[in-house]
Amino acid sequence: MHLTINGAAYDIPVEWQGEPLLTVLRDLLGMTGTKFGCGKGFCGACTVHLDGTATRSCLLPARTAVGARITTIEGLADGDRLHPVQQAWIEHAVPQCGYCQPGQMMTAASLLNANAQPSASDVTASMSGNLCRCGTYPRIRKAVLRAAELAREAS
Amino acid sequence: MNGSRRRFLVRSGWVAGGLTTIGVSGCSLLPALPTFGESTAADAWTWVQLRPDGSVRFLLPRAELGQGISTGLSQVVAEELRLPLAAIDCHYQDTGLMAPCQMTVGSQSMENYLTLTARSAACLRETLRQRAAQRFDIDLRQVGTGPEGGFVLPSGLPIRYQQLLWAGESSVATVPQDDALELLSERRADELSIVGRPAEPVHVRRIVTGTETFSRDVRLPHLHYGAIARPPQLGVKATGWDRTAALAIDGVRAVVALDDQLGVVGTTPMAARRGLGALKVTWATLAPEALANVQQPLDIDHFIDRDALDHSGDSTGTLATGAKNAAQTFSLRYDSPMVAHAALEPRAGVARWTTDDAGRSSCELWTGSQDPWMVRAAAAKALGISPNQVVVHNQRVGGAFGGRVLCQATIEAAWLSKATGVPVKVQWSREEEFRYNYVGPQFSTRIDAGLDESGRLTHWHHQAVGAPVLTSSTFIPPYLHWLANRVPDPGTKRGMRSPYSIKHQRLDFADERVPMPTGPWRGLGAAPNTFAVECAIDELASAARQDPIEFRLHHLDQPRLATCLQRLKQRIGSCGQPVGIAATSYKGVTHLAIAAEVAVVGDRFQVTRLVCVHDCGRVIAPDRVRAQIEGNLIWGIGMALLERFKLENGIAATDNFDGYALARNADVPDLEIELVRSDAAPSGAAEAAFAPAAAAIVNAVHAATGRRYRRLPLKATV
Repeated sequence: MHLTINGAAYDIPVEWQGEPLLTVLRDLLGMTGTKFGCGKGFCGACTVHLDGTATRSCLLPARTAVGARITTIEGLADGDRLHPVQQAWIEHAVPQCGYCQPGQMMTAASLLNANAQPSASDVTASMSGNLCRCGTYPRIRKAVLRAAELAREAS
Repeated sequence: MNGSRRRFLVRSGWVAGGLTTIGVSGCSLLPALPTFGESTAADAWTWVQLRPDGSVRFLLPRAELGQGISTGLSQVVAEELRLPLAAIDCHYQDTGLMAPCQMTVGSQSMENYLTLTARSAACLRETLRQRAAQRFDIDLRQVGTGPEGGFVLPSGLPIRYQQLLWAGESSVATVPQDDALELLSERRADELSIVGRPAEPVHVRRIVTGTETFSRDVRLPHLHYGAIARPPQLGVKATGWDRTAALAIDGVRAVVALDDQLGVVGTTPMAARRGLGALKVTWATLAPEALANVQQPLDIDHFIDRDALDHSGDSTGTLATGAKNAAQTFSLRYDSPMVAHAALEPRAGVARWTTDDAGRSSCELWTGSQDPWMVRAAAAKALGISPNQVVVHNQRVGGAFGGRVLCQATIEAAWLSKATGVPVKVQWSREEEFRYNYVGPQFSTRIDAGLDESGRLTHWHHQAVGAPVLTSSTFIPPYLHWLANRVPDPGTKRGMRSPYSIKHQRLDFADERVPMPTGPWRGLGAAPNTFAVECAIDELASAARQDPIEFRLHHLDQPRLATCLQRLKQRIGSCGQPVGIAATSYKGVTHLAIAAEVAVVGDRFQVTRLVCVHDCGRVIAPDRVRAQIEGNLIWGIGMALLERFKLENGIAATDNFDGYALARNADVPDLEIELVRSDAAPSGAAEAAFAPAAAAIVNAVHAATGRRYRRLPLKATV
């Protein structure tokens, strides 16, 4: 069984195939950018993309991701060129502890994939499934709108 | 050179020669205690080192928990050395490279570490200046301030710091300087180029690319995974176990017992989990009366009736004298629940136990802790070795809020690694995080106060019961409880003394040791105490038919807090919306005032506006201070409306985020924050604003609905 992660193919040993994709990413492949927060899909820290759409990797058995294009936070940038979401996150100095932020950014990037010009209320609605304990929500909202602007400028 | 300095210079590879160690005998009856001692100037000399490429290695003397201290102190180092912030390579704490640092708690990093850090960097700068003077055989005063990262010689020739390294030298060891050392970071605001200005947060690029390493992300070759058998109820111990079935599971390497703790080590996380599932453990069960005791809420009136408030503090005047002048008297009760830290990173630790050819054992630990030296001491006790044989590498912490003074997972990894001889990682689940860490205690408060004919406060009696915060069972083992119980817990008391001058006032409190482990939670007692004080003041202002800001101002003799309230009044203006007000002087040094507006939306309250005027003295890293205040205001929403930790059947009933509600993005309005310009000494911003934010929200609910709520969290439907 193979998984395609950030453009590369990985062979997954049989004993890992039924484990959550998050466990495979972190504990088998060492891609620790995607975080474990709750293990039950409540917090969004484990968000990755399957074919460009935000998906919680803590509940998704790895074998069900076969054939999908999996993108993690490590693959969000285009080589050295940061994704507009990452640029906006730096501009607005969003992270405090930073632990939930990969999940927040993957959710934001997925929103922008689906909706290049989200309204403020689209952003709040889309980002309300990702928990942050430090309290970065207002900056997240500003950064998502700024990322949309940066993406439009770049295109 | 003193012993501690020499030791760390040696370990940093600066001095040839053998390792100097101080023998500390193992087995002490004293528990592993938090690191209370402040760092000294001698400790600080090793924190800042110049490297041959001209960059500076800065060993951050605080734990980075998201509060932004890595940014603030790196700004100070950059300013002192006249280097761009990007040239400062900030490393997290490491017990092998630094003398013990005070635990990172209480919002005191700037208070206690600003000057030490500035002096350390300035000492390096002056050491380099002395080298330049020697090298070019000129007077020290002729080595002028040059462009960034260097000096200028009388000839006009610029010289960069790294040109002053000797051949083969890997870094410059700082020569201590005298007290007259000039600190560039203390110059007037307009002469500063980095300090006092917004800066890109240190390591933000690692965070946004997923390359920052939290303790949960640490990986080692041949890493194994540990899982711990946890009791089904608090206070219950294993009475027997059968390892056979667990050891038969594929990939299970060992089942380890340490006293009454049991753990399974496996080659994969799945093997450890399956092994744990197959482990047969017999647990004692709680007697029904013990179970009832576990869940018994604290009731202030019960304590008052029994005359059981055995600690007093900061009393003035005589209540009875004050009460004689009262035209109206009030007796108001406030209750706040147990609360969880609920940091997004469940704790984890990695341990590598090794024994060298000479039979000497040591243990290397990776943790995420507010106190890596306490982790070292606790691990050494569990391992039966000296703390000198343990090295702790602290990582960025994925949220702490008082809950990471101890990082238990790291200690567990340590004894599992020792028993198996392989590196072991223990990563708690979210359920373990809720069930087996300590919580912020429940508080129950009664405030008796009076108003005279003119609407002035005549007297104020604040009586409260909470559970120990600093002298709690988390830190003090049962055999020392008799001693700890006699000590008034300073954590319980924090925030009890209001900033208002009231001639006759009295504070009485008790720390009731409860079965649920309690401990530090952001702000300690300041959260529940400030909630009670600020809601009571609001009720009294209403009864006195006074504007809540004016009422507070009439009773204040703290000019900085008065300024905050006056500015708040200007900011909120006459918008016509009902607002709730609260204010505090946190620890007497950080002053702030908050206004909140609340709307009733269906069966719940929605906070629609939060304004905070905040004075924490001179600000080093203004954007990080703002970020902290933002976080505090959002915690205020959680404290007022959402958060409550519940026990059922002797164990946490709220064991994941479906049961323990945190504020979500949609719960939070845009936030309005004003930092008051001040030349006062920097004070904390990491936990000052959230309790008054909660109180302002509760007071705003009254302003909007006419209803008073005195029990947190409040629900619109009640």
